[in-house]
Amino acid sequence: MSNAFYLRWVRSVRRLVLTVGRFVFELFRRPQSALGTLIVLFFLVLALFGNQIAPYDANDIEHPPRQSPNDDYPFGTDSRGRDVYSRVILGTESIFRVAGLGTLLAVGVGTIIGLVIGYQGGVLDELVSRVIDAMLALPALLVALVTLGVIRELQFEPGTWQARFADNSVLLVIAILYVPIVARVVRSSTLEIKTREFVEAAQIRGESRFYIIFREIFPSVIPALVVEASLRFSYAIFLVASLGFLGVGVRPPTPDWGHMVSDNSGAFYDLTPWAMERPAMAIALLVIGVNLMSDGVRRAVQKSD
Amino acid sequence: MTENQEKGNNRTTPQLSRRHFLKISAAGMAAAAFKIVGVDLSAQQAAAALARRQSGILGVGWGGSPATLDPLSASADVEIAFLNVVYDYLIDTNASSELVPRLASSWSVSDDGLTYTLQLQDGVTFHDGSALMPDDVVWTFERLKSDGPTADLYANVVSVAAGDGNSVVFTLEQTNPDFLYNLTDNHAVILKANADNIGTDFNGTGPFRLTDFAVDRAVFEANASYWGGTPGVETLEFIYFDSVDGAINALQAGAGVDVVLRMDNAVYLSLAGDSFFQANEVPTSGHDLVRLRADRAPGNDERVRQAFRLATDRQAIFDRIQFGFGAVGRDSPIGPVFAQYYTEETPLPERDPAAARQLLTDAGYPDGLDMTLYVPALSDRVALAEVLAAQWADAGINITIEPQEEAVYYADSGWLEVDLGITPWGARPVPQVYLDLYLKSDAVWNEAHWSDEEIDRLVETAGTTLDEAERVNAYHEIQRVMIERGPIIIPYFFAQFGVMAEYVDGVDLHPFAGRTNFNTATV
Repeated sequence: MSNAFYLRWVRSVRRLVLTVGRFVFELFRRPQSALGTLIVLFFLVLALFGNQIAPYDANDIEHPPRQSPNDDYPFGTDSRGRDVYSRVILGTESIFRVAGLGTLLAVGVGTIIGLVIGYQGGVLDELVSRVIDAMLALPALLVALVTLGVIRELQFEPGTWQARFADNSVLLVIAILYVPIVARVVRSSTLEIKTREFVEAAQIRGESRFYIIFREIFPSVIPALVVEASLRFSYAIFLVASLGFLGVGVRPPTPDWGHMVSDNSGAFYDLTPWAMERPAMAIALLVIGVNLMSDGVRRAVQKSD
Repeated sequence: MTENQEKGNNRTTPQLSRRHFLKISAAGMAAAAFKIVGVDLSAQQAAAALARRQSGILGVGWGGSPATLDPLSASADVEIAFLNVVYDYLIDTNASSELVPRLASSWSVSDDGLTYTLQLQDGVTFHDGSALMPDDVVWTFERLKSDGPTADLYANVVSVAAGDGNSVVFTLEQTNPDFLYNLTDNHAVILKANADNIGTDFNGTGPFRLTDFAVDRAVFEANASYWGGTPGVETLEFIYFDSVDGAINALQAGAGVDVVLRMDNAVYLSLAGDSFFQANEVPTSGHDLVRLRADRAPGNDERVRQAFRLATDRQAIFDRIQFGFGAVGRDSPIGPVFAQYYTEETPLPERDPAAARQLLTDAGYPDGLDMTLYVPALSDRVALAEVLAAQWADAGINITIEPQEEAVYYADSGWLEVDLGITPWGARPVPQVYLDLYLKSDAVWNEAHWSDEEIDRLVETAGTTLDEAERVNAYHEIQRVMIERGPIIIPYFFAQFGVMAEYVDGVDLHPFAGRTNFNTATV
């Protein structure tokens, strides 16, 4: 390998580090954005190390039922004798996994689609854009409920790959719902960027379409993409919690925040209010955190531009 | 949040979305704060109570509305309650499952146990003014025998005929010590012979007459010429809510509801401490049946069935799901409510997950079992499944819980096919019904697909013998066999709940809420 390649590599790494550094600096400069980011990081730690942090197993029913919050059980126990504190902590993992991976998947697929149709234009763009319009016209929650309802009724044998697929259906539904939105954002950025000189230069150089899309256009789309991804993540959390609340998507006794809220509502709210309030607070806190963070991300991206 | 809002917001002004969100959260927190502080409504409640008392109306709130009112197909509490008001049964049962005369004032049985003669009350008239004749009873039972879910129940009846005087004679093919209880069946209200438009026109002999029927309520006026005496309230209103929560809210707010029957354990527990209400509970024979299919692996191995039972802590389940209401079960449907047949002779083994694990190893499952537990998606049932799964996990039985909408659970007999399931069984006045319906080999709903010669023989004996001692003995033996090798776990028996405003009197809660009588009620 030539020295020139090595130098180019070092330069791009340095540029990346500088950009990210400035981005992080901008993000933490505003107190609101910093707070939001810290909240998200806090929950991320819970998601990653929940098993070490939670004092008990999420489904252990050996505790005295209906205990109000006390020294042994900081968030109390529910009517089944499970520790609410442990369940809230261990529920972080599932919401990050489903909402986070769902968003990542949507961003990945949506970016590719957006780049390709935006750059290609013509009939392909027309066709795919109309499909995207059609998908955006459908209410997210309704689509999710119908899809999950159907998948659930299929009832695969436990242990088969179909069953594993069904168990991750919420993640896939989030990806399906958010792909068109991401694709549209990326497409509109692409339309604007492809008219710039450096793209034309690459075309004149005779670079392949693949090279132009991913090496020339894609880096310029990243700022818009980061903003969109953080927004999608916050909506995904809301959606996962809503679906859990409606009782689809998660299988009891998985400690899912939304499901915990609905499970302990109604008459159970009078008996064990803490078992509903604590996960509800966790949802609220995380959504507020992600919202503050995504607002900060948007500002930081604008500043870094 | 709708997709439109979501899209509009993120396109142009993402900040708006956050503000909007914060606004909504603030409103939510304020609402929660009110709830926590607990706004005192008692003065308002007292005023509402006074107004209710003066109105002479008794309002009963139900969590649901009737789907059918043809006695042949009606089954839900809210449907039976309607029929029980406009019609009469020949015989009622009370809260202790004893027979109580209603249209039949007395009865006698022939020595061979095959002929039952029921004397009807004198001076009974239908709402249209015509007198009740034995032929009306005959016609009613011919109809019940010919079709619907009662055809099996009365298949043993060879003939129904008018007897001497004002009496009706039932002749049976085979002896049946529970026959009088069969006459109390929910479907068996007495109609006028050759009645038209059954299910939409209601010409009964009952204590109340229907005056108005809408989607959300049925209004009845007292039948002044009721043979059992004029009812205690002038007007009875059944008010139909989407859920029992709505009915409870209306009761708490004094909004036209004085009585609410039938509710979840948690609802009852949250209301039971309120001095403004009378909270009533009666034990019932209704239960949740947890069963393992016994005709194929793994449930066909007696050791596996024993392992499931050894891994189960019934008392812990009772505390967590029933909150102490009802009774702890002993894996047979013959519960403590049937005091004359219930026994604790055979000890129920203590919970021992290690022994259960050993039994599984012996049965060829050294790595434990992975199974799916199917359960109707009702909150108490899913909760039961969660507790069972946690308990069984200690014995190496890993459970995937599959909650299904009730309609799906019962569709295409799916519930009869699955290996491991939970089925709720409603209250019945005699234990024999359960044995006939789901325990003997050829039972229609033999969920566990279990076939045990000794059980079949004992069920047969208990269902036909006229010797009470022999019957008691058969029921005791059945309980022993179930503990020794049965395929079912009955962790608890339900209680039936009713909540009434403190000024309501004379309502005796029935184990089947729909059979609660309102003719003696006063406000």
